[in-house]
Amino acid sequence: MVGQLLLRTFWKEPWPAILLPAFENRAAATDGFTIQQPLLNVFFADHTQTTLSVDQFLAPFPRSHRPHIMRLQFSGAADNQESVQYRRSRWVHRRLRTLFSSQPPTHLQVTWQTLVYDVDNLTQPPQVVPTDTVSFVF
Amino acid sequence: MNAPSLSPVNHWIFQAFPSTAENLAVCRILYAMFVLTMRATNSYGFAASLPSFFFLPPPGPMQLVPGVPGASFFTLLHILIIVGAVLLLFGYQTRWVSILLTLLFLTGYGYVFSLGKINHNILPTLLPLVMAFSNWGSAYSLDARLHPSRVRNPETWPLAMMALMTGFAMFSAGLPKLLTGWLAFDSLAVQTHQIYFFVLGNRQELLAPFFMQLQAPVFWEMLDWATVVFEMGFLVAVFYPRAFRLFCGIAVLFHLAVVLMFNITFSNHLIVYALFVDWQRALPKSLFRLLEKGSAFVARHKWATLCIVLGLSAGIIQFGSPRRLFDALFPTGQIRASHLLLHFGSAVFVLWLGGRAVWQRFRG
Repeated sequence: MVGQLLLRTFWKEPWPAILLPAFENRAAATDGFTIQQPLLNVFFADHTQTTLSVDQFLAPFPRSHRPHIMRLQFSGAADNQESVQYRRSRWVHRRLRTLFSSQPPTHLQVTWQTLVYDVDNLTQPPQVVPTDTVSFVF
Repeated sequence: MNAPSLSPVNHWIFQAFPSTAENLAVCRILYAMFVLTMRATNSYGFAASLPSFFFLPPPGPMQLVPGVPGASFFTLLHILIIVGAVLLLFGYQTRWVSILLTLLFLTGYGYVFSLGKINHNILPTLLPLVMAFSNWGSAYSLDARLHPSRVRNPETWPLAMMALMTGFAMFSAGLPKLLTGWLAFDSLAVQTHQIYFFVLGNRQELLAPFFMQLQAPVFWEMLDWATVVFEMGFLVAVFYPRAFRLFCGIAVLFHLAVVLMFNITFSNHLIVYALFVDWQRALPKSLFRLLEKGSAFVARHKWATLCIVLGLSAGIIQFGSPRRLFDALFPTGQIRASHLLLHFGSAVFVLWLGGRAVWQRFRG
């Protein structure tokens, strides 16, 4: 059990392991408390567009998985090997065709923005800074 | 001649958490009912439809697995879990069925947790494997009725083991908090997590909107401290059974608070704390008489029992657990009514147990 805890502390969380979530201090970073938030925009052939929530986009996954899958698969940090990117793009296309069966989608844009909170007054609205954009063109 | 005295370690392992065959049997029945209601959905099958790039197994045995199998594999897994839980309920081949249930759960969750997120339900997953060695099928079971000569005495070391695993798991949650500055006065860790889950996890129900607006640094700092002390203290409490039971009771209230504030349900853990309840004192004697009569009935009417086992299994496999009907009747947003009922019901039960204990002590 101790080995599992050390493995998580210094490398990556193993599974199965007798561990509960760490919930590390999010405000301990030098740049204060920030949240990386994705915004999804779907564009259609008729030049219209619509926003899509992460919950709608990743509905096949358990709710607990969705923010993690967005970060792992649909951010700049995702595996960008060409073959993986190709298969990922095909999956996104299929997913959007399921969600928007009446209009063919032409591309999905995932805009990542950083919400910067004032650590001295966390109830204040955060400052919003765009950080990254990932596009899937079909 | 005096019996040899046990060393403190042996005493803790074998005598700290005394139980009876009847008490363990109630734990077995509760666990089986828990699986058949709260875990009776095929929550693994969706993984079969995903392309392989989603499969990112964490360090561990899943790294040896080449990829996600087809949907029929998960359907079979689901069927075996339901049938296993029904057999556990009736106490048939209890030890083997208990071990099998843990292996089946580990297999299913192994794939789901290889998609980039590990959910921390390891304690209820390992529970049947550990409790298999407690002989929790020694009472109110087909095993006890059909083969009375093979009935073994209850073993309580599995309870000590579950206590240690629970205490360590809680400690594993508390230690990183301590190391990353939860106790620092210049950062409000609980409040930042509240905002994180509200904004990014879209967890915006129950009391979450109220706490999202709550600007009360002293309150938030107190929550930071209380959480760390509680989670780390759990491991110490393991070695003091009365304190451990108190910590389990507090944990039930703690999880309810987490549901209300963060909209994160930990109903899986409630069944782990239930192992440490003295059910023979908590439940009416008439219920135990009913269990006695029920187990005698099912042992006498083997064909009827077989029909019940098959019918119950087939019904849950085909239509899902009765929980789905309950959740459909009482829509409560993203957090299911059954989870809320379990959390609130457990909290009321714990408060009743605590109040009764205090009252009995007060009366002497």
